[in-house]
Amino acid sequence: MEVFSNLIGGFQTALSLQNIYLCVIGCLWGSMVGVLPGIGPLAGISLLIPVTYGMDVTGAIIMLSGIYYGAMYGGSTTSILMNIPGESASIVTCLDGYQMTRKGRAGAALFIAAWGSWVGGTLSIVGIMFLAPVLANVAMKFGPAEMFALLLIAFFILGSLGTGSFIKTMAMVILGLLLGTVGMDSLTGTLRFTFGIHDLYDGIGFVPVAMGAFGFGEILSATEENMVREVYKPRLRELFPTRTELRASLAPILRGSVIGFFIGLLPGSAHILSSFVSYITEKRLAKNPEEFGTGRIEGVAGPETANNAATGGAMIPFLALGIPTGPAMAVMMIALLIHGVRPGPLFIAEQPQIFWALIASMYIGNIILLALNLPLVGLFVSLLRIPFQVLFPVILLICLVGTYSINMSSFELLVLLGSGILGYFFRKLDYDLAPFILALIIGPTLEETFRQSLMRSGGSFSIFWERPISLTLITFSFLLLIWNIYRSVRDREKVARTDEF
Amino acid sequence: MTKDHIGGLFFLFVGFWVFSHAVKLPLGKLSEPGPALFPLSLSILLSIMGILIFVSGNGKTKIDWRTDFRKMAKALAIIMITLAFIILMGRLGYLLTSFLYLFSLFFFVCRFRLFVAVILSGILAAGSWYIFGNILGIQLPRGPWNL
Repeated sequence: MEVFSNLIGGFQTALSLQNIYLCVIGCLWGSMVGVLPGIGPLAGISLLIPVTYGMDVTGAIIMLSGIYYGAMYGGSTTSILMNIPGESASIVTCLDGYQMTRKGRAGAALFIAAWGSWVGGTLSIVGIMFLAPVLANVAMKFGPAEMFALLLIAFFILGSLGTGSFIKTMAMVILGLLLGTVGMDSLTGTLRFTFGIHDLYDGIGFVPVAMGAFGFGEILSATEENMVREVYKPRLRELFPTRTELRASLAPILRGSVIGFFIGLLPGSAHILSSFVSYITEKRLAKNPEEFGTGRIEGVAGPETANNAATGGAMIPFLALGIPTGPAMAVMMIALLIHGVRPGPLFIAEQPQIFWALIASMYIGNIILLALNLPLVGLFVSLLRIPFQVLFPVILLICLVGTYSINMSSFELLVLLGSGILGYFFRKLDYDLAPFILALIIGPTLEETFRQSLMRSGGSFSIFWERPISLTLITFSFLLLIWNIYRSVRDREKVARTDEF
Repeated sequence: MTKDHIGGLFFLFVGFWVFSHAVKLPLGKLSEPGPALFPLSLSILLSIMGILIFVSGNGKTKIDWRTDFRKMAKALAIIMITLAFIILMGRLGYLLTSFLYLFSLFFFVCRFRLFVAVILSGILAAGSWYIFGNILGIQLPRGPWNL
């Protein structure tokens, strides 16, 4: 029952006027960045980090997490009304959502997407409440060897989730790890790859790299495409689904909640993957799977629920283990570090008031989003009508100011531009950027734990398999490696066979 | 050249470059690993990945450079204009530089009419200066006339 008394304490903090206000701002801003194609939660959170400097840490994390899950709500609007995903997790919603719009059922699709998002989001918070403290307790027993083994698993899972080949994904991971070695070595104080540039002594800031590779690079890629869009505006009285649509969406919403929550625990683009898995599951379970892609409500309900449930799932490794599972989580981590709070096993034990206030604010935020999103559809449609030619220079300027404001450093603007160019070319060469960014963030901890383990064991690698937890994790990571290699070879053979035909 | 050839060569180059710098760092010993151990091992791995990716590119569709460069023109223009913004912001201040930045993007990249580009850039630059500088309290660089 300790959970519930903690939760009540969390609500007492989250329900203060200031925190409710910050939660509303975060949710609204998140919805807007979710609606606008080209700006995702990553840029949305990065841009508001400077605003949080003067706030207390609880208010800051409430607002920033509001942006994160708010973006998932907003992403569906653009997918349904324009056939363009506002957020990458809503790609799959375009398939049936836009077809529903063409049939005059846009309102119903938006309603079910919002309803499913609320159910998925809320159920995943229940999951965080019970799982995160347990996981944090287990992780408190971790030494550097266990932590290293855990991070190794994260990398191999990343390898298997990348959209391209395993070798390409691992090359991106190694590139990110190498970039993470720039700066002062945390164990010896030796400067590495700094070339006398003072701005590099603390390492390469990953906010400019992430904003450059994702935000800036995305815009550069978008300029190659057609910039004209057509937006449909639904009327409010069309918003309610029929009884048949409600009944048909019930099971996909429940399944999407479970799928999204568990996939959310994995590192990588879990919210994107969860929506795809949910869509495929619904299609497999459907009596008439051939109707998917023609405007089936299940094709909207499942994926939209799953990507919101995944945001909750992703919070668990982030809060309990200190492992950001995606770029947006990584930016959240930086925001907390700026405020002197380090997520990880000790976070829940040492700062329970922040953890439980966050949980309570997520319940409140999900209700706010459900209440606000449908009436605000008109406003979002107006936002979408702003031509991309007007929007993208403004987005670029916001990226530049957002990056500059973190350290008032022009050097970080150069890092942003360089990362943008890198992101643009990697997109052109069909490489996945998420593993690169995550490796950059987790890399320094991976190196530190690896070297600390060797120092403790006097140079013996047996430390990684002498302790039971470490042995289990290492075994699992090797199994993942073997699976990845097998999958890569199998895919190559499949492609070769297709080419022969 | 295929996409994989370019990617493979890039990783191979980065791998060699990092290796050449990492060998100058102390390697330490296994019981006390030095700062070179991690980057050195990674650079070797990256070079191997580079070779594998390069080889996997054989027989794939070649890049059509002419079409690709035409497509990239806008992106290259944006990169150059952004670089100018970064260089000029410290000297001219945020307000003037952001106006010039937005104007260059609207006029040269988006091909808006001169009048429209000037008005839009003026409103957006002043608006962003007010929001970031005054409401959000970000210390933006100031230039001539303290702007």
